[in-house]
Amino acid sequence: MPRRVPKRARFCHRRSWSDLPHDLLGEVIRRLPAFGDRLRLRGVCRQWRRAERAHTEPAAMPWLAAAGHCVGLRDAAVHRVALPGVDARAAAAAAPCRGSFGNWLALVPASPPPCQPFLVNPFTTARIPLPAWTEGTISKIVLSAAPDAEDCTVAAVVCPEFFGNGLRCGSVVVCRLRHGETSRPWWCITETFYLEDIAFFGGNLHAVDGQGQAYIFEDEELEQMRAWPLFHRDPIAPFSVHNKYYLVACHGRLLMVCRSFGKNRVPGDGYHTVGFKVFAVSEQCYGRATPPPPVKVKSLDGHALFVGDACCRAFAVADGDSKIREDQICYADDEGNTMVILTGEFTFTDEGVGCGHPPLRQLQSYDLRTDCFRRYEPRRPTGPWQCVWAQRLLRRVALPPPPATEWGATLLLWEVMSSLGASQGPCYCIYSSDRPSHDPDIHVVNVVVDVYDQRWRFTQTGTSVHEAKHRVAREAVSFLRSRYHRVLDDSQWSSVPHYHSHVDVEEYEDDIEEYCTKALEDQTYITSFPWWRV
Amino acid sequence: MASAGSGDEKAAAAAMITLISSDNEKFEVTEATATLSQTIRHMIEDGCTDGGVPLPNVTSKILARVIEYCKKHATAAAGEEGSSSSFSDAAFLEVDRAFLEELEEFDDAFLEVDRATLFDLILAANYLDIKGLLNLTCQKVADSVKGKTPEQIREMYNIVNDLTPEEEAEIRRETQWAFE
Repeated sequence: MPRRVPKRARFCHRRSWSDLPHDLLGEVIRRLPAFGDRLRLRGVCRQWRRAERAHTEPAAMPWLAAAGHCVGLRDAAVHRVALPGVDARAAAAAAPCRGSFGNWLALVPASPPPCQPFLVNPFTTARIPLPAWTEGTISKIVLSAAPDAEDCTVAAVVCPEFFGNGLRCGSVVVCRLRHGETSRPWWCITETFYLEDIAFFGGNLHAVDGQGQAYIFEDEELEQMRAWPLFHRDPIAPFSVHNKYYLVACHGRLLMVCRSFGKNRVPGDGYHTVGFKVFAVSEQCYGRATPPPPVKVKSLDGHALFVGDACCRAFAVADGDSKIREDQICYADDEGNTMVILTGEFTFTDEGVGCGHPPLRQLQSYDLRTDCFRRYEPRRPTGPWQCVWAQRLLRRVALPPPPATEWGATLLLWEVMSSLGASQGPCYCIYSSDRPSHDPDIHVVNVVVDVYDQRWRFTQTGTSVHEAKHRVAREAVSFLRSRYHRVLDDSQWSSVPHYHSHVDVEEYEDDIEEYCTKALEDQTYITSFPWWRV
Repeated sequence: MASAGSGDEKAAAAAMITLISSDNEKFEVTEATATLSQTIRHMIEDGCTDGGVPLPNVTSKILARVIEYCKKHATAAAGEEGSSSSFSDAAFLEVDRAFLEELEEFDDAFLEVDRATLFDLILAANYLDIKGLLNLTCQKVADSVKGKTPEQIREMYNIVNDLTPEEEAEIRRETQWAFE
């Protein structure tokens, strides 16, 4: 028999959200994939601040950090930032960052040799000195484990002075850290060759050269390699200045990312990234005179990649709202080719005092599946960051800026076609009503639109040529917006509604697949003519 | 296995457990419902549920809601088990999807509560060790703070700002960009 208790008894005391136990708040923090969201919790109250600082699990969506900047990958934005640990920041400004692991950054002071590289944790301001290096400059540092762990191998790419930095030549040097201390100097394991990148994966050191050939150095052999003759590759093997190779460990695989540079079709953009290819590095790739053709990777298993000169990393896209999505490769063309490290939470570019590199003003992404490039920047100096263009196939001839005669709907059509990578503007055809049966006040305008090797024709009528032309342009824009809505969704044209009675969503995917195969691999353009009469 | 002195599975499923809230209200629930809570499951395994399970940290209002959640999810779990044996694969998938959709709808409706109730639900889910409920409620809080400024979060959750001006300045320095 239930006995009633006076209601008063329930309000023994009123608890507040600030008293939420730390482990429970930790549960909430764990569910915030974006680093920025986590840090904002610090500002709520003392309890939350303590809980956030005590939370050690890194955010899935990391931040890239340049001196004075932070790049949020989730919101694809560069934030101006004062990093925790002012000392480290000052150090970062004077010493370019050449690598990272977890919260640790590897900084190499820009002073003349002997150069004294060191590791620093900007959150704790702990420092670990690395052995001094006298010949050449250190261009990249990778670590096999957190440097304060029991055992850790540090490998670095060293460029001889006389080669200059443009020629991506280097040799690999190695040292060991035990409990965060090192007693012996670096030792060299290779001669100088066209070395593009090194990475630790599966406990072993991997390297890739200018021809996309991968090498493996077993961890336990590194020690013995002091006594061995240096690993030798022909230093004048052909390589392309138009390609750069990166090694990225992603979801249990080692990926080789080939980034191509070229003349960008976007006016004023100059020599920039025009394409990416991703390959899986498998056991068969090593130690063969003629390695098997690399296996192309089309999906990153729910991950996205960041590639930069000082650090490359894969991160899980755990959040549906993230602007950088899975299967995308994020990069910054204006990092001045002198990037970057990345950590569980932070990546630094080495944009430092006196380096002469402008601050990061934009961020780009490339979608592996749709072959679509996106560029993110703020519309206004202090405004929110957004995708300012989405475009595919930067290799082809650009559409010139719209002629002054275009305005309103016709201008919009021109811009949308330009975004979609068309190489020809819309072609209008005006029919005069010369047949007597026609009402002389009715004008007919045709427009032919070529996008992605598909051609469409639209027809509209109006009481004036002008009116008919604008109606037909509106029609074409609405069609393109619907047909290519996945490409245009986060472009500046996203506010144009994407509904068109003639477009089936399924059509889009087939289109992309077919086109990418055709255009990228064969480099032949077959024109099909599905005529639409509207 | 578990239950205090019942060998037969049917009987075990039908066995009733009495839960007693902090304000002494009693709730009769089936064992299947109660064992969604790991805490209660352990108590049943230890055979110390005779005369009811006292839950001094949970008020009757919250306990009623928690039981509502457990009942729904226990039925769903039972339904899934049953369907796997008696339907073909396609039918099973169909049923499975229907169940999941229904559960999702239920969860959404379940979370339509005020902040104070949500807070108590999190504490109760943690105390009773109900994984699903803890996940659901913490996710709700996480989703609600995404992209919000500390001021907005404070207002939303009625939190008093107890940071000193010095601390605030320090936070601002640390995380200037996060406040933009």
